[in-house]
This record gives sequence, structure tokens and C-alpha cells, in this order.
Amino acid sequence: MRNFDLATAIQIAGMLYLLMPLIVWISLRGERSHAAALWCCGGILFGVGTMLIGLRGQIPPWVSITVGNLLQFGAGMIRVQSLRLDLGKPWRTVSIMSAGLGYLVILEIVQVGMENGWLRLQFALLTLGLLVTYQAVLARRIGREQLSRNANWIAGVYFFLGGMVALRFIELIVDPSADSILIPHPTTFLLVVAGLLSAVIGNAAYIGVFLDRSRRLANMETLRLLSHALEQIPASVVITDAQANIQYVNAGFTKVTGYAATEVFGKNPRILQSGLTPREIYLEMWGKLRQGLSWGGEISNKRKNDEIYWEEANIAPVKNLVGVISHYVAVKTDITSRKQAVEALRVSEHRLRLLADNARDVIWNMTADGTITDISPSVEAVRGYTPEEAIHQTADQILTPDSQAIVLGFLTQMHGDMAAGRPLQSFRGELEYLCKDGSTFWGEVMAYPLFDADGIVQILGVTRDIAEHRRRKVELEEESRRLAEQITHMDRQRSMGEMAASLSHELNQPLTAILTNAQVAQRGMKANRLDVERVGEFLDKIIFNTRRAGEIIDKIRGFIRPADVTHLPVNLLKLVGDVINLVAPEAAENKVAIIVVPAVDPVWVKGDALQLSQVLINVYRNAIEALQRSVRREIHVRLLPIGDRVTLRISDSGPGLTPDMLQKVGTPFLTTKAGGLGLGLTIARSIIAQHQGALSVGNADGGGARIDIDLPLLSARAEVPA
Amino acid sequence: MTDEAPLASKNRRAATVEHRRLAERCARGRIVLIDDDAEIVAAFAALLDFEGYACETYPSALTYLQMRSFNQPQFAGPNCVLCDVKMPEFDGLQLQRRLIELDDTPLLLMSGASGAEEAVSAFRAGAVDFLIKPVDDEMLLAAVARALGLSAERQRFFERRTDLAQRMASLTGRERDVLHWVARGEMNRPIAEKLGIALRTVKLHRQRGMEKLGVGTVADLTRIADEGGL
Repeated sequence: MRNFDLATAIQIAGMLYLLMPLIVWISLRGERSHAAALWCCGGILFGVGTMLIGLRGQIPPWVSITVGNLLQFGAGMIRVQSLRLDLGKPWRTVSIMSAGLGYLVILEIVQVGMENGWLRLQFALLTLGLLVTYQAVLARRIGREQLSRNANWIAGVYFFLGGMVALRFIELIVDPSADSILIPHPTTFLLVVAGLLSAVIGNAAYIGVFLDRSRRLANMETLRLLSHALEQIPASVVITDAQANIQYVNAGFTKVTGYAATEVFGKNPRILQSGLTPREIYLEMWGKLRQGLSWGGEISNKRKNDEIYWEEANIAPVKNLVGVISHYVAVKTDITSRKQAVEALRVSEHRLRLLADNARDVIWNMTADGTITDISPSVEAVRGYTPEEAIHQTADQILTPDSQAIVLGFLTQMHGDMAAGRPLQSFRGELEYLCKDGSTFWGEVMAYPLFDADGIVQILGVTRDIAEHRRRKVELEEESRRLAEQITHMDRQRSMGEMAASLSHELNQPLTAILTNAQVAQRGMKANRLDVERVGEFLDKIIFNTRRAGEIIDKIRGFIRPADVTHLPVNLLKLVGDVINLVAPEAAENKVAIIVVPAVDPVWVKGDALQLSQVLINVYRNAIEALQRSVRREIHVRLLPIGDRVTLRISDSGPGLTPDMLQKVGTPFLTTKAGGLGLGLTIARSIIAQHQGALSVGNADGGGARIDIDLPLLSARAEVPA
Repeated sequence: MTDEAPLASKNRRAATVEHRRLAERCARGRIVLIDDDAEIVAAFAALLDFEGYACETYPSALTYLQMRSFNQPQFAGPNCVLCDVKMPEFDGLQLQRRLIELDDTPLLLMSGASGAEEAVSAFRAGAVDFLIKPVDDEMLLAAVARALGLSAERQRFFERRTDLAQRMASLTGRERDVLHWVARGEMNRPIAEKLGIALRTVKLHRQRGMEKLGVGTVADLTRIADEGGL
């Protein structure tokens, strides 16, 4: 302790205090910080004050004590102000000045007025200790707020200094004799050491604080830029924490979803789900994210206004320093319109391809002077020439001379119209084209003169191969007619089979009578037991029964005669009666009565009696079948001639048709019968249609089914056979 | 003439010439003709009349069945029914079933169509023949003859059964017992022992019983014992 000169130590501390702020100042000069300037200023003043205190006895006491203590207090205040500036809460300069003035007044009162060295020292120590501790508190606050470790160092070293001052203060209370700073004492020694440490560490740390701060500021600037960028980009950005609670959304998000940032903060992004995204996608997404991998894909979400939209999302997990996922960042692009556009494009492409593939029309372009400039590939299918060959052909290679004349006429007229400024006419007509194989074909041509961008007339034309068209149409018609004929024939044969039994019974009756009568006569004549009169009786009977058989055959002839589609006058009244006779056995078997309300005059129509009876048989049969479960079994037939048409109305007393059946009735292959093909009514309809008539099915007023066959009456009286 | 036959039903005596002729015809055979076609009925009737048969005609099976209940055959002789299968209301097959219930009159069926199904069910139910129209006269007459033959046989069988039953009924109890064992080939002495009567009494009953039954030999007795249920 003897070797330790306190005054010198204080001088050294003072000098250090003087020096260190200078170094700090030089280091931080570029920062142009008020806080740093104040800090350095305070440090220098503190150093000067300390040195003045340390020179006690060698300089006048008012310099050493008054100025020294005032400088120390002022320096403390300046440093406090410096730190408060850093925190953004500076004191007003007036307050600091007043505090300095107040300190000086109290110090002078104690020093000069009371002449109490101990009290002065205690006062000085108290204020110093408070200031130093306050600086430590402020530094600590900075350290916390700005995450600066260096500020914490400052706080630490100042707390230590403050603590030492407090120790000295307590010691003075305990031992009032040591009332000078210069009395060598362990606490004094510690105080000086603390002062030295605070001078070195505090200032060095202050530079550190600035370094920390500038680094942080740089980070902040980057962040500011980034977040600005995030707000600017059109994509929506969502940052969630590890529990998928939304922490941040950008403006793009608000624009796309309609949700403001405040509305979604802390919520799970699943509030956006539309329910259209397959569950597997979410499973896959979370599977990848939980593994720490990023995921990209398309998901369907719902806007605030419930509108569904599609977005392409890229989601990546963000890990903290120890590698645990702390956030998820999702960048999503609204692709709804893109998706729609792609779909629309696909559809239109498909449509165009279909059109192109199936186009049998030749589309061509021609200049006003008749030169072909463009021709579609379908020309090859129609004329046999490839488009390359066709485009170089002259008019006489394309068209027959007659057709060439037509085209020439059109072009001449068009040129005339152009010259006169009249509107140009389009062309529509049939032209005969020359084919590669030497044949010709007739094409339906439509041509439209159009002005192109340069005001030059171009003729856009379409040629349709009507020969092909016509041929296919005829083929189709023939095919359906053949089919209908086959079906009719089939149906007729089926009916024939069914009727064979009753027909043979019918015909066998007279035949039996004929045979037996003839044989009796024969026997009688052989035995010579018959007179002429008796033989005549038998012969009469034979003749009568032969006529009967002939009548029956006449009746069925119309039914089994081979089909030759002739349109002859038909007595509809007679036809109705004949057909009833044909189905009479069936009707009798089923106890069905067919009641004809006859027209007064014979009703003549033009048509095929066989086909018409086919229709009637079909209708009667259907009615008989429909009546099988009815108590009252009647079929009413009426002929209602109205104007130049006649309606043959056949109604039954059956259950009628259900609305469902009414709708489907007449559909081929739809049947209520177990063995039927369901073609009967279809054929009937087509036959009636061939007679320029109509067959309609409905329900009668009485409840049963009703079939109306509407046919044109034979108009000219002359056509009716006598 | 044939049409008048039912009207003469009440008169059982062949008093007039017509009745005598009818009796003769009936003895040869009486044919009931049923068909809804009058022409056929007339032709067949002419043929059968010509062949000397008696002939009744009806337009339907129902008419025949109704008339029949009032109109028992007035003159003896075989009979048969010739009926068309296909008739409204009551067809040939239905008639066949009724006839079997009544008296088993032989039935001939005819049909216009060669309905194999009808023919099979007709034969199965016991029709004598199934004729397909038009019928050849020879074929018709042969079928009629066959049916009448069957009818005569049935009538004879029926008569013998009636006669036998009457004879059986005339036997005393003791005669019955004795003849029962005789018919089974027993000798007189064992019969006497079995019945506990004298041999002489057995011989007496045996002789009287065989006289009553009209049989001369044990072989004849054995045959009618089976038929008559002795």
C-alpha cells in the first residue's frame, strides 16, 4: 500500500478517462452521432474533473474541489444524456443546466458555507454513485432493447463503479475521519481500480455498442427492403409460426383473398380451404414440410367472398439456429385465370382439331383475278389432287367449261361492282369440278369477296362435295328403308305363324263339308241309291262351301300377299271390317267384343291395303292383350272423316296407359310383352307416316287406351274405283 | 229326318214305320254329331245316314248335354259321340271329361288344325280317335265303326255284369260260403270240415249255387267268382 500513490493513480485514471473518449471519438467520428459526441465529451470532462481532484493540494482548492466535482457531475449528466439519446428519450438541456447549477449551489453551501469536508465528500460520492448507477441502468436498458452485448458490458462495469462508490460512501459513514479522497484506503484503492476499469472497458464497450448498432441497422435496412419488396410483389406471401398460425401476410395476400392482415393474424391458413383440393395433397404437403423439405403444388382456396380460386403454392419451412422449424413461408400465385385460359385453349384446340379432321369442305382463297392462293388439304379427298398440285392449277384444269363460264361471269360482275364502287356480292351456286381420275363432281360453292388489310380484294370460298353428301344421304335412307322392310316382314311372319292355326281352322270348315258331300254323292252313285235330285243337292252344297272357302281365302289374301308398295285407293271401312274378321278368333278367345261404329259412306284413302291392315292388326292385338285383365272387354272402332282427312279411332275399355308408358310408347325395343320385340307400334307409325298420316297414342276419355290414325282422304272423286 | 229324332223321344214303341226304321238304325249304331258349323254337320249326317246309322246333331256340346239329360236313348244299340274340338264356350275336350263322368260313351274328336297338343291331351283322356278335317269318308266310317264296336263291347260287358250281380244276389249265405271254397279249388270233404257241415249238405249247396250262377264247370265258376267278387 505504501508504494501506491493514490494521487498518481487518480491522475492515471483521469488521464485514461481523457484518453479513452478521444479514441472513441476518433473511432466513431464517421457515425456523426450526437450520443457518441456527448459520450466522449462527458468522458473527457470526467477525466479533467478526476485529474483536478487528484491534484488536490497542488492547485487551489476551489479548482480542485469545486471545478473538479462540478466537472465530474456535469460529465455524469452528459453521459446520462448521451445514453438517453441512444434510447431516444433525451432530457431537456434546461433540466441538465438546472441540475448542474443546483449541484454547484449545494456543493458551495457545504464547502464554503458549512466548511464541512466530510459532508461535501459524502454529497459528491452520493451524486457520483447515483449518476454512475443510473448510467448502468440506462446501458442495461440499451443492451436489452438493442440486443447489444457491449452495452451490457458498460452496464456491468458501471454497476461495479457505482458499487465501489457506495462502499466508499458507507465507509465514510462508519469512519468519518477518512474524509478526503486522497486518504489511502482499501476502498479508495478499489474505487480507483473501478474507475480505471470503467474508463477502459466502458469506452471500449461503447465502440462495441456502436458496432452492434450499425450492424443491426444494416440488418434492419435489409429487412425493410425485403418487407417492402414482399409488399410490392403480386404473389401472396404468408408466414406462419411452427404451429401454422399466420404471423405475416403481404398486400398480395389481401388482394387475392380479400382478407386484411389483421383479420388473419394468428389464424390457421385452413380458413382459406375451399374443400376442392384433394386431401392427399395436404397430406403430402405436410409430410414434406415436417421433414423440413419445401413443397410446391396447386391448391384450391376460397376468397373472403366465397369465390373459389386456384393458386400455385410454394411452401418452405424456416429453421432457427438449432435446426428446429420455427416458421413456414408460403409464396402463392393465383393461377385461376391461367388455369381457365389453359382449359379454354384446350377445348378450343380440341374443337378446331375435330373440325379440321372432319371437314369435308374445301376452303380456298383466290385473288380477284382468279388465282388460287391457298387451299385446304381436304381438296385431296374430293378431287384427288394434293393442295400443292391444286394451287398451281389453272381454271380450265379445275372446272368444266360451263362452270368456268359461271365463275368468269361472277368475277366480271365483281370487277364491275368494284369499279363502280358498289358493294360486292357473294357467290352461291353449284359448280362441276374436274378430278384427278378424270371424273367430275358437283360441288356447292359459296364464295365471299373480302377486303384484306391492304384494301385488296380476296375471295374466300368453301366448296362442299354435294355428290358425296347426296350419295351418303341416299345410302342412309336406303339402309333404314331396308331395315324397316325386314322388320315389317319379320313381324308379318310372326303374325302369320300365330294366325296359321285359326286360318287353317277357318278354311278347313268348308273344305271338310265339300269333301264329305262329294264323297257321300260318290258313294250314293256307286251304290246306285241316289236319284238326280239328291245328287244335285250335294252338288249345291259343294258349290256353296267352295264359295265359302273362296271368300275366306279372299279375306286372308290381303294379309299374306307379298309386299309390293303400291298406293291404290283403299276402302277404309271395308278394310276395318276385314281386319276385324281376321282377329275375330283371337278376340273371341279372349272374350273381347269389337264394336264398329260404321261411317255412313265408304271412306276412301290412298295407300297399301296390306300395310294398313298390318297396322290395324297390330293395334287390335295390343288392345286385346291390354284387355286381358279387364272385366269389361270392348274395343270401339270409329271412323271420323273431317275435311280432307279421316281419323280412325280405336279405343278400348282397358286400364289405359300410365304417363310413363305414354311418354315411351312407340320407342323401338320397348315392350310390356314378354315375347315381343317392341317394334309393333314403331312399324305401325312408320307405315302410317308413309301414307302421309299420323298415328297418335293417348288415353280415351273413358279411361282406356286410344289410338288415332289420321290419314288423308282420297281427294279426287275420279280416283275412286266404280 | 235325323233332326226329328229328339222329338220322338217320348215314344218308346216302334209304332210307326219311321220308328221301326229308326230302331233298326239305332241297333246298327247311333251317332251324336256336334259341330258349330251347320254345313259340316249336314254333310256328316248325310254320310252317316247313307251308311244306315242313326244320327243326332247338335250345334254345341252344351246343347247336347242339356238335351241328353231329358232324352235317354229310346232304342237299344251302340252309340258314340263325334265332336269338333274347337268350339266356343264348351269345347270337345271339356265334353270328353263330362262324358267320362256320365257313362263313358266313346268319343271321337275332330279338329280343323293339326293341333298335336290337343290330340295328345285328347288321347290321354281316352278319346277313341282324333280326326283331322277335312276327313276322308272311309277314315270317318272306320273310326265310327271302331267307336261303336267299343260301345257295343262296353254295353255287353255292362249287361253281363248286371246279370252276374243279379245271380250273385240270389245265392243264399251257405251257398256263397261253399262256392267261395269251390272256386278256390277245395274238395268237398275239406269244405265240409271247414264249415262244420255234412259232406252231403256241401254237395247240395254246390249244385244249387252253380245252377243259380249258370255255370257248369269249376273253371267257369272260378272265372265269374273273380268278376262277381265271390
